[in-house]
Amino acid sequence: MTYALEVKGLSVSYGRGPVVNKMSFALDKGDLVGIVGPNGAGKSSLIKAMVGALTPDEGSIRVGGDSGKKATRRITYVPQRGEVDWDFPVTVEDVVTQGRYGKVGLLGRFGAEDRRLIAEAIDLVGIGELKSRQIGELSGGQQQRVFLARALAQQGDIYLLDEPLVGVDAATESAIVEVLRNLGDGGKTVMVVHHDLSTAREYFDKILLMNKDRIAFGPVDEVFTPQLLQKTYGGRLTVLGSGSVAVMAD
Amino acid sequence: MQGFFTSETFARAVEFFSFQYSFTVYALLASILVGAVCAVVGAFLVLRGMSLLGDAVGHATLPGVCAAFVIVGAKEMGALMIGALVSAFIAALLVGAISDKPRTRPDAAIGIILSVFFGIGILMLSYIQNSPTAAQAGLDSFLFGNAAAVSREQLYLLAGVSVVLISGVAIFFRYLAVATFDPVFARSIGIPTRVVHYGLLGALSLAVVVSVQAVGVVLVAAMLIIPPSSALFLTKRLPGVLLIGALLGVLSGALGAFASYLWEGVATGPAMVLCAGFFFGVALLFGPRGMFKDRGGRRVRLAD
Repeated sequence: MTYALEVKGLSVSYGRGPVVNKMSFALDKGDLVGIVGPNGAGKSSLIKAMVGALTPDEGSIRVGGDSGKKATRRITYVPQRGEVDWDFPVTVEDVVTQGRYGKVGLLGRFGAEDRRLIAEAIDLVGIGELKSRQIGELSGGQQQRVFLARALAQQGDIYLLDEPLVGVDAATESAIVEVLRNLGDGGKTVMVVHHDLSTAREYFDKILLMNKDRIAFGPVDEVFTPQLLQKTYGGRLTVLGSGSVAVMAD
Repeated sequence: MQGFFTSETFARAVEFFSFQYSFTVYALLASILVGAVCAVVGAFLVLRGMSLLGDAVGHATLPGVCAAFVIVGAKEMGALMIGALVSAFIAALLVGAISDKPRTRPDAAIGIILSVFFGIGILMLSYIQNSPTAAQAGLDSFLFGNAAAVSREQLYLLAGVSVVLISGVAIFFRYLAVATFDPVFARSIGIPTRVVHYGLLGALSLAVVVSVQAVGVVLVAAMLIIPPSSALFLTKRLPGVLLIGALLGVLSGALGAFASYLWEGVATGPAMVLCAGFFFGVALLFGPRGMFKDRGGRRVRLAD
């Protein structure tokens, strides 16, 4: 069976031992998956390895049957806001335009289709009137939307987002979640490193619980249980009376 | 101290612009080219936080120049440039190698390489100057720069390298911009970020080597760092940073060469750097993205 995205035995290390240990899972088209785990669990490293920015020690990544460079080209990436240089001299439109570089290449001209996709991506996330602003002039929520627009402009099949909802206002959060839902409904595959346990159940169809190792993966109702969350978070987690849990912030 | 602006000064100014002496023309052209190529390459160093690496590479050319002089036995420009290039590139690679190892942070690595290489260079320079060869007289101009000492061959080399480097930046602009702004995204779309990194180191070494005769080893980093940094206060897009940075570099270079000619004993390097620094101050205070218009930093808005 060909999955939309299949990861097998993926390990990534930073010299002090693996931060991602033999990770395996398979996603179908239209899946909206949340990656959940404590800080240092390797969630960002997993995403970066999937996108080709980190070299794994072992393991394979297949996108719809393709592997290697062909596979990673079909994956789009939305970074954590904290990792971006907001003083960099680029405007909103410049960043979203970068989304087309993969297709247009180093010296290629931008066609009408490229321009349309860029404009459409900017409108879809609702930052049309900001397109000539330097990115440092935006609020947190607006900044997050810029990188989502860039990913949309890429027209990939797989979307990987690293904590996109940290520090954004409520309006942006719903806007982003709606865009992700629409992507899923449109047959795209979306994987999100999510920081907020209280909303994970509501936003995602499936959850991957990880803490360097894969703890569990599957439909949210099966995986999001106090037992499995306890296993993921260890001592930082307390089970409350009603079956819900409280996790100590890091 | 005599007055700065005497009739003698005015006479020399007129002399400079009469362009009757080829060495003044070469000095002016060299300074303009240095200003342009250093600004264009330097913009990417500044944006990658590698400004001090530019300083290390600049200082590291000195032992290479001295070694080449000792080996060849005469002030042969081609040999000196090759010597400079070799030691500059070795220094750049060593900085990378040391920062990779544990316990030495990148800024310390830069400080170590910069001072050790420069120290060796100064030692070699004193040894050369104490030796009986008369030809060593020109070598100390490499410290603080003497645009008027630029020969026609050096000017051709500088022009050729500038054309290559500036065209290179124009051609590879998209790769450079994305690899600098978001390396993870760059790799996800297949941009070879390691190649970009080493390519920039190579470009840095070349730009520094052809510039040290005019600006000097000690201050060449300033021409890499200051004009692009000024441009960041004047424009919000990267192509603008490159263009305006180059323009400011050209102006600083030209004014520096001019000032160096007007007043005896004023080395070109410090003169250019003072001009560049002045422009930086103006841009910082009054530029559209500067202190007074933009409060010099990010305006974080609380609501969408």
